[in-house]
Amino acid sequence: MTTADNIHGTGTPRGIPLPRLIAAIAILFVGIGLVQTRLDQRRGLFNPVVNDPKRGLSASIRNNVFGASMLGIREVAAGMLWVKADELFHNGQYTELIPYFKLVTFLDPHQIDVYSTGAWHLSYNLGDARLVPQSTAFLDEGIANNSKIWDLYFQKGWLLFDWPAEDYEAALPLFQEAAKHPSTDGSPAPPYITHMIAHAMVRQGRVDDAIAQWQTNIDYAEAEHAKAKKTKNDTDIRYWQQERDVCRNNRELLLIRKTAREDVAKNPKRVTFTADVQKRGSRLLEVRVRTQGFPPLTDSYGEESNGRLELILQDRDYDKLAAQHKNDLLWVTKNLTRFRSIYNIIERNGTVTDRSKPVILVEMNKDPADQGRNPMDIYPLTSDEYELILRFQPRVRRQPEAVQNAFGWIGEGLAPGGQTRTGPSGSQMVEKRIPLKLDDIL
Amino acid sequence: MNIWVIARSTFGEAIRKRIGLYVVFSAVVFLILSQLFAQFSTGGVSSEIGGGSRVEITIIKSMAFFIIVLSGLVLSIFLSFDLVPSDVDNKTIYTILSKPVKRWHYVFGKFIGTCMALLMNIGFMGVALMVLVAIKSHQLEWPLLGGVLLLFMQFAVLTGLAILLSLVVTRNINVALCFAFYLTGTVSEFWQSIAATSDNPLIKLMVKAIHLVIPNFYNFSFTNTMVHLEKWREIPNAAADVGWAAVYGVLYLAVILLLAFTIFEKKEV
Repeated sequence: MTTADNIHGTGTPRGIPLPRLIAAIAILFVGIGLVQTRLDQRRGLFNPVVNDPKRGLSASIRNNVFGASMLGIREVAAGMLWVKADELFHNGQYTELIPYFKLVTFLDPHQIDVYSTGAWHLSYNLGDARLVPQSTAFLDEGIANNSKIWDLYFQKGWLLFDWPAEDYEAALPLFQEAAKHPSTDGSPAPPYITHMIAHAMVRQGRVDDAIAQWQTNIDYAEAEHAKAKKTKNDTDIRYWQQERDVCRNNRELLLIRKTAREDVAKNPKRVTFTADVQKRGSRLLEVRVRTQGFPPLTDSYGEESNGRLELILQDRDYDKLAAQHKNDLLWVTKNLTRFRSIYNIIERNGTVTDRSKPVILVEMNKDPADQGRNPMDIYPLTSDEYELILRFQPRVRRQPEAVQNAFGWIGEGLAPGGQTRTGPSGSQMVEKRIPLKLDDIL
Repeated sequence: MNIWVIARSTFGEAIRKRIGLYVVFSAVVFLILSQLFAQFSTGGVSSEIGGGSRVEITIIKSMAFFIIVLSGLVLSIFLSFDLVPSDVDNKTIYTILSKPVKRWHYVFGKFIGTCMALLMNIGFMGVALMVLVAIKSHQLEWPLLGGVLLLFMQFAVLTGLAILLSLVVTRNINVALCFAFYLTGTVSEFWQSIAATSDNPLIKLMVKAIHLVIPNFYNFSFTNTMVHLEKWREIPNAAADVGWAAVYGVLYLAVILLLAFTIFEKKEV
């Protein structure tokens, strides 16, 4: 062995001959190309995002562009923004929260709590009745990105079921869909989802279907209870026993109420409203409402009860315009006006009261959520014509049980004609629409 | 045998450098601090809808993966960029190569030794991540370990690249190039998105070439599905994709090491 050999290490051939090296690298790159193509085809599965520009900010920007530019740390950025959003939430700065939610879900489309919370703020905390469709659209985006778990189906179902929308027909299929999907940890969806299926059926007057649903829930709880007993899991035994009992109670309650309300439709009651609308200042109206034919209500315990009247002041073509521009938040907030007050009480003497006074205040001169926002941003009043709607819907959840005892599950105890009109699922309601001009408000 | 001796010696050298110790210590401290960070988000509506702890775990995991990526990046570059040049400067390379050691044994041994040190450090952080998550969620999430091992594969490729570059460029340029390759390789999808908006076939071809030639470090990042394990469970045969990403890493390492062996064989030292 020579000195030169030592310096170059033993066993020299001094490297692979160039043609062989090129051939080897070329073969390896063919392999790399094939593997890369396979990975590219499947990559979307690991980060699926809605790519519909109509769905708002978080979908209109190419997620993968921004995501990639974050060097794989976008989840961290999302987490930091989420913490910041939480701080704003605790400070009550709800309006400022929304862009944060959009950004967090844009960075990490699987943060399901952010979708829920964002939709919650849009529907409830901002006090802006125009934003409910935006809220459900945000949840739709979340569902598209997290379609295999129950959470966001349920969240959207709840939002549609509760007072912001009261759309039981739309809520029911969402609860049914939610019940089919597992939780984030792979466990079955919680049983309260199936409770909501029954509740949504009741609000559509499908009482027999709801009773059958409660029976299904009871059967499921009993099966789970038996399983827990076999495995001697005390926590599960107690949990499923309680679940079974809750379902049994709900089923029995429905059976009792069904019998009690059997004759409601046979003795229909005619209810009408008279209203006097007075302008008390710019953007401030006083509405005095009296009901005729509204019976004195008593609940199952013999306590006095009363009904709830909904008051809406909106652009005359609000529903049509809102549907036309449902994906254009900017247009909606700049052009549409909707004031909604839902807990006005129909007293036993027929007077309607708001906060214990016999007058409903339509206050479009202040921020409904006390956020210091300019009222003109929430009630822009850009149309010439408006309508004031007074509505009594027996089927909605915010009505006390005594209302359904008197008027039936879905208002079947209201006499047709007059101010009675038919709503979804054949439900009956009393509604009076009063046209207003811009001058009547400003 | 020669490879193993050189690898062990390189591993010992890496441990003595203490950079790994500092980085890992800092990383573990930050991992623990991420718990505090996560606690800020326990209030609000999320806890009311029963998701408070889920948000916490999400934040802990995402912070932890970020810390592991950052530490791995620093470690892989700074443990390997100076391996061969320092041996040349100290003249220890002459002692090694005068023994019956093939040159590729030397390069491969250096690479294996550095990877061992890297695996130890990243593995330690991965275990810390699993423990922290287990404390919060009361269950061991094994897929997290797969995610951490893939990150190790990513940094093994970067280590190979740093060793290869150390044979042809100076130290400073090597470090700069490593960061540049990492950035370019991580935003590979970005190039593709640009190409998708272009009508020029030449640009499309160039971008495709970059996508295939520059090591695509994004292939090794499954962070989002690791942070949201429900997504992992949803994807049919997801483990196979991890396997293919690992195959990609092995193939790319083969190219890098083949080039490194050839260059070092021809290098005058």
